[in-house]
Amino acid sequence: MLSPPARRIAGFGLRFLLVYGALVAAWPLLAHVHRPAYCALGNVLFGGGEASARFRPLDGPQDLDIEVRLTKRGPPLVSAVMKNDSRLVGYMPLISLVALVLASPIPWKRRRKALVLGLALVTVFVAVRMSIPIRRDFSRPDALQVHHPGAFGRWLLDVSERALLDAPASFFVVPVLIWVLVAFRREDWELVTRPRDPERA
Amino acid sequence: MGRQKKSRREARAAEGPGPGPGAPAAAGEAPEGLRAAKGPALRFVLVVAALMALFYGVFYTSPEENPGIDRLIRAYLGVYASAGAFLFDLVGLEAQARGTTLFVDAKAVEVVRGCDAMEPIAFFVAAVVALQVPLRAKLIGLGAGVPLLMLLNLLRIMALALISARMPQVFETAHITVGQTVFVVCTLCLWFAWALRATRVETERAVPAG
Repeated sequence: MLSPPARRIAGFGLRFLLVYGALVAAWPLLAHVHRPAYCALGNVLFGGGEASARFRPLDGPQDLDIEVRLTKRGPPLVSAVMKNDSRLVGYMPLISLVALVLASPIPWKRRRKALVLGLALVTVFVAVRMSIPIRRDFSRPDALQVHHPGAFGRWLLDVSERALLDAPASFFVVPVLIWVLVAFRREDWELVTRPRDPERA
Repeated sequence: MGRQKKSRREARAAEGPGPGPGAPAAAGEAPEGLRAAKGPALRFVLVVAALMALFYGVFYTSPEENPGIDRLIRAYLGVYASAGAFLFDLVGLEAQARGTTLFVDAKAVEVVRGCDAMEPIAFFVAAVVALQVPLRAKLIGLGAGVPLLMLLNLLRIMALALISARMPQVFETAHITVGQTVFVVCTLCLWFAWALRATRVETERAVPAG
């Protein structure tokens, strides 16, 4: 028989898997909403300036479902095309946070607040993930080059790409930290970490 | 205006954290500001973020620039492949390890960077280090938690090798969506279990027997 805290932890884990599994399975339906929103965010953030990126959703079930047209406003005008996986870059961190918040054993009112604030912060994280390949392509020494990062800048870009974009668990670590920030209050934290009365433990 | 603010704060305090990891909120005024409201949670997030940044900086420094780290990681990945082949042999499945490649039923799965679960393990280590509990509790958490996560990762790799050999059509889903998720959830649950245990042990040690 599990102790009450262990039951609570197991309950949280199971609820998380259930919500997360449902959201993963719902991708074919939600993709039609997510792709345009992903492109709108990209176009707003990276659509202007000397080095611009225009996002366009692609039809079909392929993994690389977004076309990104990179343009260096000349002279001479240079443009190139790359593709994005909006599911891995945007959707997965989003649903990680949603599942963590919904699985948290806190009142619904607090879940709603945590969800709103958390989604805003995760959107910032997604924007950072979207910006990495754009920045990388505009920094390569070719006709498209606009940025000229130094050795430290190149190293930072390389590490960011590996850590925040390529690593298999990259869509979890930051959402987990955001979840701790938006869902935990001082008193919740103290409940986990405060020494308890051994009589009741 | 001031009264309104105060009553909103009181209402928030009365609402409490609710069921689950929510003790009744401390009576009285709720603290103001992000730092006061989040308190140790904010400190925890900042420390974990700093430790993870350090980990990423070292671990993801490209292999060409850091061959020492790359050699070390390859050796570590090779241990997973060998241990997997050994365990498959124990249960009577035909398996073989060659370097970082694990062969099951003559199908090969290469254990590459990313299959090493270094990121979730580093996250667990950072979360244990960031929590304000005695050093002894942290050492117990790291000593028990890290080998447990490595064992769990070995089982994940073995399951993926089997899936690759027998159900290759679901390999990608099992690899990225299911395997990583279950592993991260296990890491989180393990950390919570350790945190609860660490604080309980601390109290029990403080109470004289008799």
